[in-house]
Amino acid sequence: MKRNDLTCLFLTLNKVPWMAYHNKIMLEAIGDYPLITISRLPMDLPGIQLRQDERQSHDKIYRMMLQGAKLAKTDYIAMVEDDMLYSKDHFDLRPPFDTFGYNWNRWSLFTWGEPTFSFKRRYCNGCSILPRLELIDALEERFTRFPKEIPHWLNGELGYEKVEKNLGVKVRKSIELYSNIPVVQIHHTYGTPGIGKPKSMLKPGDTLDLEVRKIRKRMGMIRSYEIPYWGRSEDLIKNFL
Amino acid sequence: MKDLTAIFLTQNEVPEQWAEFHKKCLLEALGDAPLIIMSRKSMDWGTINILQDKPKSLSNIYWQLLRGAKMATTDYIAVVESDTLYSREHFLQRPPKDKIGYNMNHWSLFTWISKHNPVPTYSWRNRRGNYSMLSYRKLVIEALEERFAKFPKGTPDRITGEIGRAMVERNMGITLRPVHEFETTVSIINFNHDNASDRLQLTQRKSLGKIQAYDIPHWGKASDLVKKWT
Repeated sequence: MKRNDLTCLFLTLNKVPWMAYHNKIMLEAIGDYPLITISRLPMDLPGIQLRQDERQSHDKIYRMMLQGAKLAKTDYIAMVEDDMLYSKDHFDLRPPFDTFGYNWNRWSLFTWGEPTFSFKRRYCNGCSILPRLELIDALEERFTRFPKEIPHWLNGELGYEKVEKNLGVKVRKSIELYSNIPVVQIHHTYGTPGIGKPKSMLKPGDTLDLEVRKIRKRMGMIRSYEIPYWGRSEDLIKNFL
Repeated sequence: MKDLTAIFLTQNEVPEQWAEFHKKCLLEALGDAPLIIMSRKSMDWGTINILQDKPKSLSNIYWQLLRGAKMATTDYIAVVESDTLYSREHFLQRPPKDKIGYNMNHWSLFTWISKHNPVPTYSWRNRRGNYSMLSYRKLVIEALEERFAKFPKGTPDRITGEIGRAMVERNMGITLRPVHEFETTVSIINFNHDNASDRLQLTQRKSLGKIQAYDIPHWGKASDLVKKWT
């Protein structure tokens, strides 16, 4: 059955080398849902295509989300990222119209260290299913408050209470969702660089080396070597090395 | 590990070989930590062994826990259940003294195969289990004494549950206890079986949590570990 209440919004800087593998899986998962792509380079994908420059920042991600949401016509927006592997049933999740939904069935897989799936109990923008009008309202509120740029260290997911309190904006409702098949997020060194916090907020002696900082993210404590659908971590990671 | 006592709650209903395997794993994990066994049958482990004094029920679990906690003398206690495997790392945790501690790195493993569980699978739910509780002893005593002062004949099964679960404590009309959730790198494994207190387990109608795995660090493949339940 063709469903037309959700648009997939794919943001990519075309920097990851596994794009062909990713896009094949992405298109299978998306099926008939409309797709809007905001990429740095032209891509052989169906749907609407918009361009972005090569700047990397969290502020830019949320501005592109607003741009895509205004262009879409569906009730919901699903974020799609170039380092996330999705399955079809992820895109069938629906939160209420006034609530941002996040799929918690998400395993992380690092491109460094022993290949291990790990799980953290937290929201991730790339796993979001967002009611479109609420998304537009929330982001317009943020950008009215921060017309130039939202500071990197304050930015974060919609409906994340701590983030919205720190931003001084309305705290929106959010909900955990669980797909039957997990989403896999690849953690790699092509991502958005940055120190995160202002230098004055760093701990004494904390490194400023961006390359070092890229691989110091820690795995979640709940770990696995083999999960349903995606198989063994040591095999899956080969697609991303 | 002299500041923690493990309170082992058992109805002595688990399979024999499993009981041996469980004992080996438990004693390795506990090291020299004191152990108090609250059992239905006497158990000669060379440690304190108290026989349970009330019939099997959900309320009885917490009653026996209270008895064991009062008998212990250490700052902390940890619940040990007969269908759950622990690692040493779990017993090394020390949550704040004013909060009930729960290890959230816990997998369930079903001992049966069904349409909900076609192959042996570890699964996780975002909820706290009594089997993973490790807390400051006096706080546990305070919380459980409050329960049994209000329900001297035992808490009704339909409202009985973990200390620090808001719904449980609200339904009982007792103090809501703050909780500290922690995670160890090695998981706790809670076997779900048809001798359990939970009706869904008894009838094998329980469904898996959505977070699932087949092979995990330390414990290995679900299909191998489940064979220990014999």
